[in-house]
Amino acid sequence: MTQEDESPERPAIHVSLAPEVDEHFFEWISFGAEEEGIPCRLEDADESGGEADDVAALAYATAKNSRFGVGVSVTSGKVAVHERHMPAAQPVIVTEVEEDYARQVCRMAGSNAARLVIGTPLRLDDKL
Amino acid sequence: MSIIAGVDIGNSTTEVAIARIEDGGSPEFLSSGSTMTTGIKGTAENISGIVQVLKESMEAASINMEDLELVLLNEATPVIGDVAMETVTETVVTESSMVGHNPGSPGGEGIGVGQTTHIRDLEDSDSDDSLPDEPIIVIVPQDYDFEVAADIITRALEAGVEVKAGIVQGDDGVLIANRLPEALPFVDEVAHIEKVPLDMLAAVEVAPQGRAVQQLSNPYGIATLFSLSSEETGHVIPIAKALIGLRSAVVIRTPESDVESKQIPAGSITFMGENQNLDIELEAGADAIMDTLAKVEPLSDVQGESGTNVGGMIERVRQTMADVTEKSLEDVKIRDVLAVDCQVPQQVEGGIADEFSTETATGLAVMVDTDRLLMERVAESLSEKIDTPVELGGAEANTAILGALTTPGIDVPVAIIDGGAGSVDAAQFQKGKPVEHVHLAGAGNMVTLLIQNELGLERFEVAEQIKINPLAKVESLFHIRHEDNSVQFFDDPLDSGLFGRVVLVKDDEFIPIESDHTLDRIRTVRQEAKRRVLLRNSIRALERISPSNNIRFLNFVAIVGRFGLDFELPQMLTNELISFDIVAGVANVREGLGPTNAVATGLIINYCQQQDEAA
Repeated sequence: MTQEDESPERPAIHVSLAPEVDEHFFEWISFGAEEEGIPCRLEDADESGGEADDVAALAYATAKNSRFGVGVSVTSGKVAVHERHMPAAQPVIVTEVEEDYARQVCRMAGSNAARLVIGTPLRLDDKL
Repeated sequence: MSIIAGVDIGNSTTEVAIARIEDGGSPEFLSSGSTMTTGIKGTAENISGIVQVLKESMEAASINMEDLELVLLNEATPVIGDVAMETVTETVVTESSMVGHNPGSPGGEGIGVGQTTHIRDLEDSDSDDSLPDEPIIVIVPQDYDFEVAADIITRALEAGVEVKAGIVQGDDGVLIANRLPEALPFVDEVAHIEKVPLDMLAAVEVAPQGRAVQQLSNPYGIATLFSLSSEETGHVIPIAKALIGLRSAVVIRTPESDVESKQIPAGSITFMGENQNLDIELEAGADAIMDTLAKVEPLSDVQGESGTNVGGMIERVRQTMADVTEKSLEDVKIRDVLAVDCQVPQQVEGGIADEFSTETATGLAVMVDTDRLLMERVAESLSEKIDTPVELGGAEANTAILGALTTPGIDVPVAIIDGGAGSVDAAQFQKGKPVEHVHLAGAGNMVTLLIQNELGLERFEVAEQIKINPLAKVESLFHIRHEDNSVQFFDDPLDSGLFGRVVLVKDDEFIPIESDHTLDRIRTVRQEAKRRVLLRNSIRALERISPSNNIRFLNFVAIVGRFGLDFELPQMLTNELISFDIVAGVANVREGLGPTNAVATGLIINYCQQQDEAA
């Protein structure tokens, strides 16, 4: 029972990665969402259409594509969680991605994106 | 013609009324004011607050301070209250033998029974003979990544090992369960997984979403899973009790599993009345305690059995009161007691995942008499400070009644209810009779104590805030749902730290409550605390002052002071008193001041009446 689903119609948290970002980042984000029971879907780079170097703009475009209205995006060095009602330039959470903690940070972002969907308090500082 | 001021120093606020009095006439009120009381009521520190609010009120009436001819000070309610709480039962797990908690997301569902086995014992799946051949519960510490763990367990299952369930340290339960070929229950977020004993028989239960564990919260369920004798079943009752209402749980059978709910010798209370003395065990519960008290009344003092919890509790209160009133311990006489039962979450001694068990506790509020010397000292120093005569202007109960009678639509016979942190006060007045009044133990601080203990809050201040502010749930980044179910939207996004939380609505600010309690739970605890202390005491007080102790003989009841300012208590009281067929509501002093300023206003009216009588 995996949570990945290729149908764009199915409600899911959408994830977009800047071209230079490794696909592993999507996997790590999806683990965080899976633990909370919410599916994730990776968007193609051209689908989101945001500025690939602006993590907030990319995440906003991604959130607008999601039927949950929640999107996560990763650019080099940053991961952002966005919600479609938020001002475009103001993501819900932006975190710096340091090499050593990339996995935890991405999983946390996925977990928080799922929490936005299910309505439970976000984890803003503690580690997974 | 003269200008006089009425000043009421309360525990929290100091209130002022300014009036002009024609010779032999009735007062014409010019202005009112209020400020935070500076220092403890009845001490010299009060002066700076009084002077400040007097100046402000005089300015508002466009009168110079020099024209003020007389200041009337309240004779403070001569009682002080204190509260204490003691747990009557306690659950102790001396051998680690259960895990029960509500992690956000356990994995899978169902029940599994087997020997607790470390995941490293499954790694070597190639040589069949080294693998366990009995049903097992796999233990997964945090240093095993969930993919690695799922892989090891999958291969063990394929090799024929009967893995029945798992206990996981990290927040990985769902991730592991989702990666296995069959659905198995996994309890996760078990912080002290190293305390789980290995090679012991254990049962893991994960309930379906929206349900609580059935088998492990039932003593017979545990007996069935572990084939227990009737005697052994008796020993698991505390475990079953601690697991009630949880989504996931583990029970581990250790050889000398010694879990017991032990009764602390709570001790007994002796009520010493003017006519007789009666003892009552604290364990008998609040109702029995209050019934015993009613038989003994009028009360002259209270003693707790020495060497017991209640003995210590009453002596602590007596000591506090002795310190405040500067009396010797023997002279501190307890004049009233309110006992309230409550259910308090207590951390289980020896638990593995910070389990809590609900224990019975009893809260006691007590009240002692103080003397009036304190206010006389304040009057003297105030008089020196402002160079104006200052008099004590009548007992608080009388003046509060006179103030409340300025409320439109009210008439005698009238009763008032007032209350503060320590006591509930009531007074009753009929034409041609002296004012009857009573002070009862248990008020605002008791409510706060109950809220704090029943919700398991660390800080008194948080409970205090919960008491006085309504709740809301932050449902999205742009809207909250108030506790009355109405929804409020915002143009700008709320702080993401508030998302999903229960918050207190304080003016335009939202204060998150750092606890896992739902809004409904917090509201129920808050309202029940007010009901059990304030409502109950208000009724008890009205009964005492009513003719023939029957509330129905009262016609009008007015709520004054801080009780009238609470956001829900007045409605609760009105609702309750309607059944007695009396008009009850919040006073509206001088047709506009609401429940405040009753005493300050009454001081001036009282003065005028006395002038009248003298003339």
